[in-house]
Amino acid sequence: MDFVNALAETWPRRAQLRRAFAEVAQEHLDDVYRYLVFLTADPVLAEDLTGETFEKAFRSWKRFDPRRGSEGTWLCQLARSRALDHFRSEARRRRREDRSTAETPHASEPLAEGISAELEAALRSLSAGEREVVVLRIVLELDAVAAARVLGISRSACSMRLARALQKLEERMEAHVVA
Amino acid sequence: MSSPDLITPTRLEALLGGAIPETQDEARLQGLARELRSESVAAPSSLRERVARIGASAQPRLRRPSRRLVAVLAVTILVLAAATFAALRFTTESRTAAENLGLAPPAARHTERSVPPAIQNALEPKYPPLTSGSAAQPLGRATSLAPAPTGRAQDIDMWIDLRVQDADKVSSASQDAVRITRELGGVVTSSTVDTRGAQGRAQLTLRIPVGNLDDAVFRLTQLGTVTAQRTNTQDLQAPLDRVSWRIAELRSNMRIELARLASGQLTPAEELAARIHLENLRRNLDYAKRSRASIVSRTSTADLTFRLATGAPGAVDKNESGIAGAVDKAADFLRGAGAVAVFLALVLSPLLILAILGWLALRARSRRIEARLLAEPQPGTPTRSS
Repeated sequence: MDFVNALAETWPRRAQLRRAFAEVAQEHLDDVYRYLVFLTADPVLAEDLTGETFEKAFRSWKRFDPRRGSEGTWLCQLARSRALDHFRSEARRRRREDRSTAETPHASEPLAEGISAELEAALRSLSAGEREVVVLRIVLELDAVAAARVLGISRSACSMRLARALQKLEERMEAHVVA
Repeated sequence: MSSPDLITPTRLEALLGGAIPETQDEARLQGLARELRSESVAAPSSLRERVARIGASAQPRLRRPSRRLVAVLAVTILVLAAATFAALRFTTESRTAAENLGLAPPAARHTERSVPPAIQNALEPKYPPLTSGSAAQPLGRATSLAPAPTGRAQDIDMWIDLRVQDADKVSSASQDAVRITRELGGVVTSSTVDTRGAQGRAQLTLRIPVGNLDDAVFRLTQLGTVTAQRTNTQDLQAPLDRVSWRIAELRSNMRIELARLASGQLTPAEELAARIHLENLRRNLDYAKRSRASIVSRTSTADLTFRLATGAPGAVDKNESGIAGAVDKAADFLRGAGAVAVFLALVLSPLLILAILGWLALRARSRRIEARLLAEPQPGTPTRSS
């Protein structure tokens, strides 16, 4: 009987920890969109992926456990998973079509407002993996643990990846300035 | 302009946390981070409306379990059930094999019952009727499973386990058993007596005429406390009838051949053939007679395996009653469960290892693909390697 009572108390507590999805979606929409813009370097694609991410999140909302991480981290994980799925299918499609040159359909659109052209160019020259760690740690200001959880790597690996990405970003910016 | 050095992750974390830069590189890095943080990217209004619509819709119910999950669970349950069945079969067969080798008591443990002395004394020497097959039954000192005479030829094997107080009793009871066997016209085909200190055990294999089996069982069970007894009978009437019929047939044929030879009307060639045939019939008759003698020998005596072992007095009662009995049964159950668990572990561990290795391989492959995809500035474009 005690066990049943304890169980009955646990479930509402878990439910109370979870806020309404609409509220969470509004709060984290910009962050998820920003993350996907930096990851894909394509604002239009990022918009699609963000919508799909929130649809998936809505379907999975009951399975979200706040004790295992914040809503933002969980949403970024979903967004990353969705983006990787898209990259895989896109790579397959391109291989099938045997197109040797990669198209960047929306590359002309700026990644973000408020940053210099050199920084934007340098960001675009980074790999998606490098941009991803930069946006998580610098732009979204996630701590190392949360960022590592999103990336599926260790905390130290996450810090090392960030250091390398920033070094590369600086080098590319200097190269643009010199050019 | 020199290329900036790679800043250590610890220092980088400190700088991101607001530490004062000590070098120009660090200052540049902080400036870069500040500029990145100053960017302003907001989700377009169309996206905002789309997400708001998603949030405003009714929360979907939890999905039913996928077919894949159901299939995996079903397969797992089937494998476990098969393994459990195999384990139970394996333990039963192991026990039978051990019994055949004389390494284990012949009766299944759950059929072994001990009877308190008071009840044993009150019991009449009743011999339950048996036809064929094997049986292990609860018994007392005065009970016997010697099969009642049925008028049919039967091969009888019996096992009797007795407990005596000490090693001296093992020796004396063994000698008594040999004496009883000889008095009843039987023979001891093998005997092993092993005594060490106060502990001892003995095993005697006795061959006793069937007619004296009841008496032998009764007298042997007086030598100690019966802990287990088992009788195995096999009906040999049908083979005996067959071989008897064959003998009669052969004799009849021989008489015919002898009559033909005695008539004196056969040609030399026919006579030779008749003599050869007669010789074959005689040989077959000898063989059939030997077979019948063998069957009759098997049915005229019973093999009785008589085992003695030392044991603490009163243990019989303790096993049967109270907390000690329950603990004993629980220990038996746990032993059985442990054996099944070990068997399952042995059977399933290779599968488990394979599954883990497969999962690790899939994960590594997925990571490699992921790293390759993210290594490009514009993911999804074909890499040089692909």
